[in-house]
Amino acid sequence: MVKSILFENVLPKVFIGSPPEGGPSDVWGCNLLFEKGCSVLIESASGRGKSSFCSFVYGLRNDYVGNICLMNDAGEMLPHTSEVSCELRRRGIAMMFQELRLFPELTAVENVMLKNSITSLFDENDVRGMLCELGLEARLDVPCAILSFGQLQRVAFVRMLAQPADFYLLDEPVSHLDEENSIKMGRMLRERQCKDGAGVIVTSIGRRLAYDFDTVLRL
Amino acid sequence: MKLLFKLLKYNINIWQIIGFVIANLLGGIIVLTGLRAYRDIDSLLSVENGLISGGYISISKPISTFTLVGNMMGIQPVFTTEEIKELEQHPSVDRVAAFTAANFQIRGGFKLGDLNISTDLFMESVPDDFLDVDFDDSDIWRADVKGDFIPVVIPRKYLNIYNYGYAATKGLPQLGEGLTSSFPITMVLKGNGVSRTYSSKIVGFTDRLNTILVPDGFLKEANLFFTGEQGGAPSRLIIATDSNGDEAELLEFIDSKNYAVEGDIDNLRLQSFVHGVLYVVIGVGVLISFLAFFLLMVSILLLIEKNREKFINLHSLGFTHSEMAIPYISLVVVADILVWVVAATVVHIAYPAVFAFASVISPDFELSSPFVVWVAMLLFALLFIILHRYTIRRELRRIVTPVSRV
Repeated sequence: MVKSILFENVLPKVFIGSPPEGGPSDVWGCNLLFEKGCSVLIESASGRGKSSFCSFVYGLRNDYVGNICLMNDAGEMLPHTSEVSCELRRRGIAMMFQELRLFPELTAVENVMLKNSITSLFDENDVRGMLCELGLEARLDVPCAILSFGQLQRVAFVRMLAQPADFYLLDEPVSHLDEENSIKMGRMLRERQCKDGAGVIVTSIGRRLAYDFDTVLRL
Repeated sequence: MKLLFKLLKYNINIWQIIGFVIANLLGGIIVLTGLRAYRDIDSLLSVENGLISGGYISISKPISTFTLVGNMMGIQPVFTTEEIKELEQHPSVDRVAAFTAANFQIRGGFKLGDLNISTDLFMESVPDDFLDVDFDDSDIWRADVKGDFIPVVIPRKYLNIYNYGYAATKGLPQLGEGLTSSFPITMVLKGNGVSRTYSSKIVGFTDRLNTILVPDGFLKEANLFFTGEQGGAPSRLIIATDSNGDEAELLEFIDSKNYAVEGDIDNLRLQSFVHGVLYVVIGVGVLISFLAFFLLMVSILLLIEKNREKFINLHSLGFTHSEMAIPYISLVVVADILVWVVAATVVHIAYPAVFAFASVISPDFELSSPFVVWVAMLLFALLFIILHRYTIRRELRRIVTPVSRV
């Protein structure tokens, strides 16, 4: 559905006239092309727009200047409509949000199955299996309201995988996780990337997902 | 969808829903009762021999000094064919007929003990279907100029005037309807050089027509026989109003033509008044229903606002606003259908008991079909569902539309 993501002189409006401290960026104000199959790490310090980058690509926000074009397999630009956004979020781009966006009333399994209800990618046993693989076997049916942030990050990661995608977008996915979980998540993501031929874009504030990235960009 | 229902059921205030159900039930029952009562009261007011003898008005040209001068010059205040046609075409008029007056001399008399009462009389006729008298023997309302009997119908109020205004003060016996009908009356009709004597009898009493009536066919024949001419243009008309028409508008029309009105004008005013009252009752019911409708709508909008973040997050996972609306639309559809079906069922069951008084007033009265209640229920439920569904979907679309933060 999405073959490539083109950035043309994109700059968050908040940076117009007051650029962030820390020197020039490889992304803001530049022309970039993210293609399916690539794996990119975007690193930066706080306040340089990592979450803004993800929100712009995912269509959650539009407070930027320049152009972000999502191109389909035929090389055509996908329009920015509500219907296309929903379709993209089911089949085109999978995102793990920095703030996770899990529902505290639902259990770990239910949170994943809620997403799975519109993609029908897995059955419940698959979901339980993936959560167990990340060390959550004792927390499967516990409401997310009482899980730690690190546990929630793992639930959110599995939920991100509960859809087929051309691009996987992860916003600081291991900020609260240890190396062991980071390695497990990196391995699961690699398997998925290989299976879907997808692109992977990960942001990091310092702690990196254990992944062999093709490119590292400074934001 | 099960998980979506589970997620969105939080924050639903059951008391707000109950409040809606009770308020809308009340409004719905009033509206549906009013709608059915509108038809029944209408037909009750129009039922022959019922509470009111139906919508009939007698009209004539107004009498004034100019009329008197005209009379002396041989000009009678009569209705032209065009005027009659205009009345017939009025949407609130069912049918129109002319009064036929006797154009010859009539003298009537009867014996009451030693008292011989004899007087000049007048008589008129109207087509039989404008009469409000049920004859025990339908053959009795027939007469022939060459025969020797004339049946007569008189206004019931004439008998009352005699009984309470005349007999009581003169020490004469008061007469019941049955006894009056058995009095032999003698009529002498004169004209065109011919005089014929007939026996006569009062065969019925009318509440509708303020005149002495004989069969229409007989009077037309008698006019020809005793005057050698057909009657001229009518000076009085009787109008049967359409039960579905607008009585107030008809009265205004008659007023605008300066015709003099007699007869059931009070009935028409009563019908207009009752209609007005029912409009108010139905209006109050509709108002209550729509207030309840807005109560539920506001509750749902508040619920959506409380769950705003959930909807934004669901949308960010790929749920469309239509999918997210399903749980709340299901809720309002169930509430709307429940309320209107229960309201219609209550009216269906309880209405005949409430309207039992109608059969006491008018034994011939029959309740209308409850069909109107179920049709109205269906329309109101559909309207509420459509409006609720539209509002919920529009609000969710608004919430999930990305907004520039600058």
